[in-house]
Amino acid sequence: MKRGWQAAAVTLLATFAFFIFESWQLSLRDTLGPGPGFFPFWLGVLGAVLAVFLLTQLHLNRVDLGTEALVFDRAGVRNAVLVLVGLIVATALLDVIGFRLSMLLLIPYLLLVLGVRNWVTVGICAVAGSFGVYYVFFDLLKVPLPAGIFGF
Amino acid sequence: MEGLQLLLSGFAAALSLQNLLFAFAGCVLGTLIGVLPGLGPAAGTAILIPLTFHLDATGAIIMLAAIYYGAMYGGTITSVLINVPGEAASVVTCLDGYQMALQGRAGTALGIAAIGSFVGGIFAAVALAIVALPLARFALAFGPPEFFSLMFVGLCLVTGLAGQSLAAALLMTILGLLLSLVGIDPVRGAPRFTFGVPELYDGLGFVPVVMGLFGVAEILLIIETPFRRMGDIKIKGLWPSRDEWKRSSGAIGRGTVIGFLLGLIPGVGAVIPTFMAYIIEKRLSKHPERFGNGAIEGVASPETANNAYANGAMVPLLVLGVPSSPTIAILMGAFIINGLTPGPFLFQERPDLVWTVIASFFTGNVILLILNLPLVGVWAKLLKMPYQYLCAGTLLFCIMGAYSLKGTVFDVGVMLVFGVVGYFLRKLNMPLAPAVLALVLGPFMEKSLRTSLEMSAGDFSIFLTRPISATLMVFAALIIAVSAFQIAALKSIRTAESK
Repeated sequence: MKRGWQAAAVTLLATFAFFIFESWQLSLRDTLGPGPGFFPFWLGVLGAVLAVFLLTQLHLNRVDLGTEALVFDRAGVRNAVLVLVGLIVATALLDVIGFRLSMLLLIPYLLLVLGVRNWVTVGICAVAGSFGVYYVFFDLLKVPLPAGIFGF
Repeated sequence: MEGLQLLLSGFAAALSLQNLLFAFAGCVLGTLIGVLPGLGPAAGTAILIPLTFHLDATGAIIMLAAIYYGAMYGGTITSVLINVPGEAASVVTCLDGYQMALQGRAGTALGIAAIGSFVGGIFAAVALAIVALPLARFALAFGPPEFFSLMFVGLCLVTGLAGQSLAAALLMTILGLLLSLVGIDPVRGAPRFTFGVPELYDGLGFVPVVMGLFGVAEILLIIETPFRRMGDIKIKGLWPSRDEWKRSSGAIGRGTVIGFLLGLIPGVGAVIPTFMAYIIEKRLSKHPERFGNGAIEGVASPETANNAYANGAMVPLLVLGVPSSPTIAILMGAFIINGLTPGPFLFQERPDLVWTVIASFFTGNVILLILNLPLVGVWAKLLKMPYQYLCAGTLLFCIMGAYSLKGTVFDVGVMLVFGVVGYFLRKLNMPLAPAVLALVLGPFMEKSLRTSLEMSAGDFSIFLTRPISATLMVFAALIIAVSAFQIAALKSIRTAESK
């Protein structure tokens, strides 16, 4: 858990450093008062100081992280990563092949990754989750969803 | 008297068929969200916001509020039947609710939870209707410095109660504030942190960010560690016996008061009222040894406090524009999406909407009771749904919701990025609540701060020379000091125990 917190603190420190740098490029003050960079600059400075403070406390073992260890279940993480990859690909394809075809590919993929092997159920879910959902939300509820280059 | 008239006109609107349908749909969806383990009220409300895009503002808020308190009740069902809380506030219900289920009294546990939730919700809604108008009038005297100080207090409360490290909670708050500042500067019109990406000129969408942090992250965690499915538990005899009534009535009354009062304090969250109600009941009981072994008061009291809190927490949101929990922050986001800013001015500008929403809390609680007493068996059957379908369905809904906000894939990408961020933060037990509250309050805080400093020609003492603002600032400093002291004390106790 401690390593995880240290990594989080370092990431946050880098994020705050970015905000400080970017805010510095904007004006901190102008004739009317505080400029666009004022609030983010000082927030970034405060955040950076706190991140360093947290890192120091972690180094000195002064943060009570409880007894729970940071556990990653290997098979579970593999599934989560595969799901995430599927989501990224489906998102990239959304505007290209449209909502229906993207979901027609994504839903069976997700169900198969998660261990569903009943092909009839997978097929029904895929059609319901793509064409069915599109009909309800786009045609009936007028929710904007992409049609894609094929137009369906 | 004026408040009563306004409430009656609110009832007239809330009882229209259309608004009743929105409340009904919200209660059904909320209970569904609560019943499905893993998806809490925050994730559920965030995921379902896009459903309300095409509704009028009143209908949208009625439906989302109903989703919120529906989810608060729905979590009870999983706590009682499979010992898995549907949301954090139902954790304490597991202690006695599951024991009751093992003793064949699952129906009674769910029945008393539904009745307690109804009583708590209705009384809290009455109290909300009584205090809303006077408080809103008082808040009208607030200028930018007072609003800044008030929001500062809200963030300090949420930060102070957020977890094991005050520094980590403050870091999450600052991160949320900074992310809220991405986009065009509202005062000078300069683009900030946009990298020239036109989609970022409007800022990071609040809905994709919270859908990612709560919805996608939650699903990734479920995929990593799937939850248990329900065995065959029979649900019968929802109505408590006379003896059980006798033991529960006081617990319901006390749970109502505790839940409502703690709901008024921004940052308390739904967990503390339920635990406090449980602990007080145990202390007051002549047989504390029954607690943890199926005591009906151990279900009645926290479940009542839970729903009383849900309605009580609407007071700071509606009256002051300060959300008290992540779910309420998401509701505030829904107000903003609909072009409304919660706070005292809303009572002046849109009294029709405010009072209709308040009246809908009454109708919503009645709908919830009807849904949960006779139909509890139907909800319980949903627990048999394999998690794979839940995950695939939720992710499909997340993609659709994020896309439909502005019709761009960019928002879906933002959601996925924050899904991964949320997954790691949850794994590390980093507090998310301060980040979400800061995300919604950030633009308002910045505007109040800069307007205040323009008023005082850059002099920060404006926050300390105005009485209300100064009082709030002293209060904020006290909160941080007390929180730091509590965390240090807790750590020294644990260190002593481990030795």
